[in-house]
Amino acid sequence: MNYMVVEPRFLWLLLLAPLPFLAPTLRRASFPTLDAVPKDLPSSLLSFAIKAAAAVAIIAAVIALARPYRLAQSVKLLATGAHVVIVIDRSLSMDFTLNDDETASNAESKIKMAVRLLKDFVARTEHDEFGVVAFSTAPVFVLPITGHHAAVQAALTAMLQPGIPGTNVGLGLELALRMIARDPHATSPAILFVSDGEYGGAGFFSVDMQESLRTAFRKENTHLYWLFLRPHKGNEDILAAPPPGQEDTPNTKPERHIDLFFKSLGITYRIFWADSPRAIQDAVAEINHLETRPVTYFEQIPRKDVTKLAYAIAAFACLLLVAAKLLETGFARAPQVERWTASS
Amino acid sequence: MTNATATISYRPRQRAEGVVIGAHRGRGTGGPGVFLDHVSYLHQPDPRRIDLRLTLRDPFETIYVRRYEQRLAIALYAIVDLSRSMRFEGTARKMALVGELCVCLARSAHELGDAFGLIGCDARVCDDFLFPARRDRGLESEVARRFASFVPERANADGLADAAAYLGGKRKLVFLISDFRMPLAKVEAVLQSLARHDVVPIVVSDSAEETALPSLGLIDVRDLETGRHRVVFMRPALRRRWLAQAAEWRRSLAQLFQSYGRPPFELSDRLDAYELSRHLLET
Repeated sequence: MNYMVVEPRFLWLLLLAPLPFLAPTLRRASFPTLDAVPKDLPSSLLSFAIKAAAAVAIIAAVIALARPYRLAQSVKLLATGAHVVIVIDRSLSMDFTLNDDETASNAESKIKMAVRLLKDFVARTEHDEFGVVAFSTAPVFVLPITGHHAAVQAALTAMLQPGIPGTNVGLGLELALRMIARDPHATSPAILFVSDGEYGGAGFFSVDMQESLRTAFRKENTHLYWLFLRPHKGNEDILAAPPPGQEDTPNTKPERHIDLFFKSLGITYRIFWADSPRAIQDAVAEINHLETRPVTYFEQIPRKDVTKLAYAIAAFACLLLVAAKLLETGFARAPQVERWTASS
Repeated sequence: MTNATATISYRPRQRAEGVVIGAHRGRGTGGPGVFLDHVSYLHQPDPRRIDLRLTLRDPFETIYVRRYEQRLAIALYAIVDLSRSMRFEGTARKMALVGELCVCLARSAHELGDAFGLIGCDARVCDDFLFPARRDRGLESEVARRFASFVPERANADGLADAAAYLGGKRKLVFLISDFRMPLAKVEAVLQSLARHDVVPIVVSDSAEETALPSLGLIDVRDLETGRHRVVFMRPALRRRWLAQAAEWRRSLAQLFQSYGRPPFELSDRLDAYELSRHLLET
């Protein structure tokens, strides 16, 4: 209960609050003796209620004069959703279309399509929080995990800048994991890894990197989704084991070995092989559906003026008092008695 | 006949004692009056009242003398409760009503040649409200003046029990005027102190405090005697309860008075001299 007042100089008037209990609230009617008046519980309660209403009227009016307001606060709420860190591959290959056609100007590039669909994904979720990391040769810290969707949308728009050659998946993931580790509220984290592969044999992890990623993934219990933007070429399965005789190393088949590495982490992991805009859309919808873990999020409630409420309470109490006054009566008095009293 | 000239007829229960010739049947004999009996001349040697017929008729030749009842004057006293509860003003002002009654009693006593006295009591007997019984005409206006300038100030009427000391030894007709807003035990103590006198209790009441109660509303009732107050939410159910309680109190008060001689007279709202006379002659 964080309430403050704008003008505290009126608050000393609160000293008037016990007044109704000291001074008569109703016109008194003289009677020879109280012994003849029956004892009555409703009357006593009503008597107290009238005094209390008068006190409330004074208190509420004084507080209203002081113009109270509730402090801005953030309320912790629980909803279903996730804390998703979007890790986007900003390598040069992402500026190509799905069919690796660099020059077809009327087709949408992979990054444009991915950003458009991700923005749509962000717009559809209400309580999810997002962080954004871009990576090429080095990771770029774009946006920490936040519930401000406008900021997320802007960060995703910024991803449309032209790409840089080079792809360093390990550093990008590491930055995303640190981002999760640094955010105490990220209770149900997930990493959405948007990449098209095309690492050219250069991008795979060193042994140290593998170890640190493995530890970090297990520690944060992070879900991992790989949105793999790569068209199927014929019936070649880039993730499957090569035919016998061909070399099966991270250098020759980096996508297959990254996939194997992710599978070996022992976390919730899925790969969505998206080879068309429609497939990406389905993948995003699937991720949205999967990430329904409980999350706590904080809702900011701005400072609020409650003067009107105080006035309303005071008015209501006054209304009760007016009703009591209207009900007020006395013992019958003859007109000539009134005259005598007035003249004497 | 207005109350300015109205008189109240009253009659003491027993024959009067005393020496002042007046209007009431006395205990002694003598003088002109209603025939009482015959006694022998030896018993009352008064030759003026020899009854010749009876004397001549009597074979034993006794001389008879007629005796007549002596008419005597009595003394009236009004013992008045001057406690603060008598300040109640409703249909009438109680103190004005009591003043009117006392003036009327003084006038009536004067017309019959009786003495009238007034003893005002609040917490004790008020020295400045004490009129020993007198026969003179000026008493009536003196009493009226005293009442006109008087406002009750004290909280209780305990002095009523001390008033008997001011009445003297002979049996008197005493009007005990109060609203009797006190415990019954106190009323009984007062009646006991006045036991040798002929007490006429007069209950001063007002329809505003008895029957004309409002049936709905809030009243902040202030006790005239103690100054305490209490809010009462009047409604038909409570009004019924209140009236029942008042009737119960009235009944027990009447019962008490009855056991000490006379039922009470209700002086309510206005003084009706005729009604009071009838009450006095009937009981």
